[in-house]
Amino acid sequence: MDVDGYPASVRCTVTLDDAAELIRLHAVPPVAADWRGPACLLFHRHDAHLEDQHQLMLRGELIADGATLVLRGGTFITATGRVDHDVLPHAGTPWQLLQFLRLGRRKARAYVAQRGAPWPPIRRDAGRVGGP
Amino acid sequence: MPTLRLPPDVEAVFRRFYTCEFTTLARDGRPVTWPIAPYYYAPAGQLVLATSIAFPVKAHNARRRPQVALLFSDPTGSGLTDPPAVLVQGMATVAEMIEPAPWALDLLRQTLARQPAGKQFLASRPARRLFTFYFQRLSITVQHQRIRIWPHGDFMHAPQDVEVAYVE
Repeated sequence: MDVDGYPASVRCTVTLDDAAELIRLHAVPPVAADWRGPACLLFHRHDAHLEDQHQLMLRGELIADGATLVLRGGTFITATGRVDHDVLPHAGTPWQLLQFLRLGRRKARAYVAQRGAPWPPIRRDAGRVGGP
Repeated sequence: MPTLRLPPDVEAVFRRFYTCEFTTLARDGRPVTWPIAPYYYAPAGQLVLATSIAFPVKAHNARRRPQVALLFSDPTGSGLTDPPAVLVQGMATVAEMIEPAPWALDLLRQTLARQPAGKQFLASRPARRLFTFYFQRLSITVQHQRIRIWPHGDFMHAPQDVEVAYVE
C-alpha cells in the first residue's frame, strides 16, 4: 500500500518453494523492492473469448529473503471456493454452467438476505454488464 | 461533464483490455486482488466495473475503503501490440444497479463482443430466469487519482507517471 493509502500491484514471476512452504518472487520489480507486510498474489488467465478462466489468489505476508522477496503463509482462494482446481465455471460446458448456477444462486441469496429487502424487479433495458 | 485527457496508448489499454487486476482493501486492511472486466466510460473519464451480487466482496471492500487500484497487465484478446502496463489508483463509488446507467448498454455490447458465449445465454429465456443473479449487479466507478505506466509492460524498469488531467 502506498503512503497515501492506495493499494498498488505489479506483475511478477514466482516459484513455489515446496520445502519451505512459501512463494519466492524472482526479479522483483524495482517499484516493489521496498514492499513488505500483508500482500496477495493473484494467478489468473483467460482465452481470447473470455472463456477458460482460471483464478487463484494467495494471501500472506511479504518478507525479505536475502536479495529477493517471499510470500509466506496465509490462505488461498479460488473463484468457487474449491480447493482442487482454479477453474471459474462459466459458459464453457453444460456441467460448468450448472456449477456456476448453483454457486451464483447460493451467494446471491446471501447478499439479498444481508441487504434486508428483496432486489427490485430488473428493468429489461438495464442490460447485463461486465463479468462475474 | 469533465473528461480525462490521456495519452493514446493508455486510452487504448483502458478501451481494449479484457481484464484488469482489481485491488481493494479488506476490513483488516489486507489487499485483495481479483480479475475483473473493466469498462472505460470516456465521457466522464471513469473506469467502471460491474459485478453480480453473487460476488460482492470487492464491492463491499470498496464501499468501506474507497481507495482502490487497477492494474492492466494482461493484453490477451485486446489485439494491441506491445501495449504498456498501466496502474490506476483511484477512489471508488459503489452503487446497486437498480436503474440503468448511461453506460450500461455500451458495456453490454462490449461484453458480448468479447465473450460471444454470452449471446446464447442472453437469448435463452429459461437461462435468464435461472441466472437472475447475473442481472442483479453492483457498479464500482473509479475516479482516477494517479496513473503509472510501464512501457512495453516491462516491470523491471521504473514506472512513468501520467498526468491525471480532467478537462471540460
